[in-house]
Amino acid sequence: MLEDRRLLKRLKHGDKEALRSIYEKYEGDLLTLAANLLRDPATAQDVVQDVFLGLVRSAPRLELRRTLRAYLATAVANRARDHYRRQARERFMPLDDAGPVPAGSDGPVQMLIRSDEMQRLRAAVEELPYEQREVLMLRVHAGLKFREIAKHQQVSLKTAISRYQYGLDKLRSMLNGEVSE
Amino acid sequence: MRSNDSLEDMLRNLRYQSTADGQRETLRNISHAMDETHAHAPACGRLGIRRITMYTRTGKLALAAAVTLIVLGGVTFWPSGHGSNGQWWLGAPAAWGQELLRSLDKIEAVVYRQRAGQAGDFGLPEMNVGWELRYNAKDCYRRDRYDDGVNIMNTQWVFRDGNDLRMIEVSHEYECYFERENEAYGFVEDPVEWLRSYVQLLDRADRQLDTEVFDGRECVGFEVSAARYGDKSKGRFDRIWFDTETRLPARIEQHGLDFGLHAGQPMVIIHDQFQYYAQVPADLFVPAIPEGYVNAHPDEVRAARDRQVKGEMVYAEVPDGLRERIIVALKTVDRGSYREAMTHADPEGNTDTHFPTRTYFVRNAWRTDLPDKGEVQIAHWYVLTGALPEGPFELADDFSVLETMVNYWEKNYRTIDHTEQHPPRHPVAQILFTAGLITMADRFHDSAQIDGVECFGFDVSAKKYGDNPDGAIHRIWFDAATALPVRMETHWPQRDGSGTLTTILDQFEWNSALPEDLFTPLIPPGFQQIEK
Repeated sequence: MLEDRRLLKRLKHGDKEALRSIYEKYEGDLLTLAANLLRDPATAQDVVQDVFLGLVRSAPRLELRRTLRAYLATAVANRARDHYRRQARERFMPLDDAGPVPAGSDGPVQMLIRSDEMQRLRAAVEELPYEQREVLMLRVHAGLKFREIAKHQQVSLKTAISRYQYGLDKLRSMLNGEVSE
Repeated sequence: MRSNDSLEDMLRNLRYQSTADGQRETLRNISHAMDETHAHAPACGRLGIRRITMYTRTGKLALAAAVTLIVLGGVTFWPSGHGSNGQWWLGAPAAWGQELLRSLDKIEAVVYRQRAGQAGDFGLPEMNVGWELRYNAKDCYRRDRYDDGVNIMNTQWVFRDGNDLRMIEVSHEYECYFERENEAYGFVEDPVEWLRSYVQLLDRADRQLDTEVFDGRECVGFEVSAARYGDKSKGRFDRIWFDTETRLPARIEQHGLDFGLHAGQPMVIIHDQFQYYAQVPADLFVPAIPEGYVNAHPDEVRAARDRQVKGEMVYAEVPDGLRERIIVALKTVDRGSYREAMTHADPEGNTDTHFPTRTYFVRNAWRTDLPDKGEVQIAHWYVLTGALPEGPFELADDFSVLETMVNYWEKNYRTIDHTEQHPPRHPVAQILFTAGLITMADRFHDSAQIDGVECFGFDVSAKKYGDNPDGAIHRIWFDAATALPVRMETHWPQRDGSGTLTTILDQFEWNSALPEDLFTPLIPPGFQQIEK
């Protein structure tokens, strides 16, 4: 955390090496978070880039009250949610207006472990209600505390914890019988 | 059936990576953005910032950062500059205190942060989320309140207007403002005078404290009983910390305050992040009212909003002294246990009840068991380690909550050393908080039989103490003879419309005998340790 504060201080003064260090340190986790939140992993890369652009532009004024990891993770979650809402709206548009549908490949973003089991898990995660998916991913991939997640989702602590538990329960029931112990 | 832990492990492995080309392109794009940002930075002048503050809604959120740009830049007033080696504070305070007083004479404006927290007999103390930034100069005062810890919710300016004092307060939360003239607002205290009075107490300090690092600055502290300046309240003392480099006051802690807000939990107020100025940054004290804000007191706007969204807030008649009686009863509790059951009811009325847990506690430890068919399946132990802090208590270096979880189903265990600012809370601290809401009760029940015990009780809307969901209530029943809780219910509608979560604490056994080894984590041989 102290290291992050030093990096951020250098970033404020336009130090590109500091920017590179922050990017290399967090890009993988943020991409994973975004890709798990969005059904389209390719969009995840745009989301992560947007978040780093935001960091660079706001750095001179930025006074972090929490960890850099938490700051970046909630920024990714905010932008992913915007994309998700946009996608949700587009799904109700007439087909002619919806524009080209991306091909099935993940393009520049790929899963690290492409086993059948992980593919099934990914499919199950995509079936979760967005709020539950978001709690799970912020907890597992960003290490946010439930209190921080509750604040991000503007819900009570209990709701955040319940969403987490319901999410796990749903995943378990979806995977039950399909994955080996 | 997979356990939570194994499912979480699978989720952790659900990772993605971008190609090396993709990473290079992103890095190139953000580096380019950095060049642009720094090329345009000088154009961001004071006027621009002020215009944003006044006329746009986003400005209010950026205000804190903008103010930081305008004002900050520490000034060292110490006559000897940085040249002194060694531990100057070991000398007689009467000598270096005089030099410090002369340094303070040169100061025209002070900016500092003020935060508050609660300490208690149960568990670790906690700092509040919200805080204030205060700007003081002669006849000028400004206070920015960050209620959520991030955004400015409310700003107040007080300044001299001819022979009168004028106060303007802007509520960003309620998008309104109001003015007052010649009312006794808190700004009148001159912070330099206040600091001087502390310095003058140093040669009567009760003890010198070890050096600590605050906000990256090494500080040395002195503890002074508040009785030295006439406050003889029990447990009241202050600590003043000096930056060992600049030698100026860097932090002041006021311990043992009791404003009656938190049942049985004395408060601490911490003033820190001091910035000193030899000249007053004039713009800082010029009120700015965003366009479109209505001229009204926030209480009026809040009341109108409450009437719309919450219905009328009602307050029951509660017998005098009852809250104090409950607090005294709870604070004499040394040990005990209770059952906790949680039920979720969906909008169709289907209910899902979790296995009830049983929690046992003593002052420095507690344990929660999840039993099934008479046997404990999962147990969580929480032990407060290290000495309970006397302060500064947002530092968790010397103490923590050590959590040990043993899963007898899965034959594994894990330990977590909670050193974060808000570690797991002692169960009695939570009970005290909820019980202390009695004076805000919606309804008071003076007599009822609960689980065969003659009780009094109350209902309180969770809206009374926070922005909680409509219909969220606490209902607590107390033994009429002992004033200790017999049953505590919380009904919490979910904001996503998925139903209501009801939590019931009952089967309380207060001050009951508990086995000595109950709070020692028991890890059977052969159990596998798993990560956090």
